[in-house]
Amino acid sequence: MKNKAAKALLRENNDREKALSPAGQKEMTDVVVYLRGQDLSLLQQEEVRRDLIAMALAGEARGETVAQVVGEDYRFFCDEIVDALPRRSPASRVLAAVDDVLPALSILLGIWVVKKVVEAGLNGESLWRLTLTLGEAASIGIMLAAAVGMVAYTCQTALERPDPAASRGKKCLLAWIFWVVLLAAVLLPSLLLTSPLCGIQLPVAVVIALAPLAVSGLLSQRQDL
Amino acid sequence: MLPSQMLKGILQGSVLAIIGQKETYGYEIVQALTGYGFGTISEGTVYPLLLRLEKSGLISARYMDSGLGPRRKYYTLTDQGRRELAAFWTSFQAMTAAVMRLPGYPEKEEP
Repeated sequence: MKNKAAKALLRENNDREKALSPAGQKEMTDVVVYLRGQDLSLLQQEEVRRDLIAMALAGEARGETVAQVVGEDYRFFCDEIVDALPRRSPASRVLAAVDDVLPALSILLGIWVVKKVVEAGLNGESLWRLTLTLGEAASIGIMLAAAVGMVAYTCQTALERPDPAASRGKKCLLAWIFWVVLLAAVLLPSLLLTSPLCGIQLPVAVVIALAPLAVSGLLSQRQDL
Repeated sequence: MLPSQMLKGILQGSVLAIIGQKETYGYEIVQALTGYGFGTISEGTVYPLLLRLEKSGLISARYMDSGLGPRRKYYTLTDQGRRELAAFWTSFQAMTAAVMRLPGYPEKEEP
């Protein structure tokens, strides 16, 4: 969850962007996804996005494409923008990274609680006390790390154009290997590492699952994230 | 058209000079630069520079209706920007004078 001003501007920008042509929207999405992965607060990103949408709309009104308005080298353009903006403090960067992970952590913990309650119900065990295994904790950690990694990769490569010479079969094989390895990395620990890490009372587990969202809500007061 | 390295060194001062004439917006600045003989410059070159000038406090910006299309971001010089522009003129005149004193500098042909 981010600060209210940034969220409001994000919604306004989403509406404004719809006025662009489909091609313009796609180009703008690539630029914005790349900027999302840079060291900018959400408010900075949305302020820049507001300007870029206005530039692109004015350009389209003159019959120009986004590339004609900002130049062919989107990455250079975006890097120049990032260079022009003030850097966040190390503390802000750490808090922003934590804030990015908190909602996902809450969802994963929520899923874990529901899974354990259903399992206990099906096995006729007590619903009151849930046991977190070493493997389940590892799986949650791996899923979080994978999600962060995939988002970072998507942002960094948003402006790369696919190599037309690259084999489609090779790309499919690499994607297949990636997903199999990821699935194995997520599932195997919880299947193999079954030793209990700790026992948690159901209400405490629910509170723990909701706590990241609450912390994220508190962080949303900050303008620098 | 000016070589890109040379352009890079003088673009900031040139943009300040254009904004110093009147409140203006990105595309109009690009058009003005082209009109003054700076060659083809895209808004993509000028926008990060405007952002840097704004964050440095040399220009201020406000959004105004454009009459047609989206709201435009209009820029004006701040007091700090006016001082920076004056410093740019001084530096540029000194540099131009130095270059003109170089041996082999092509003299203007007499009419």
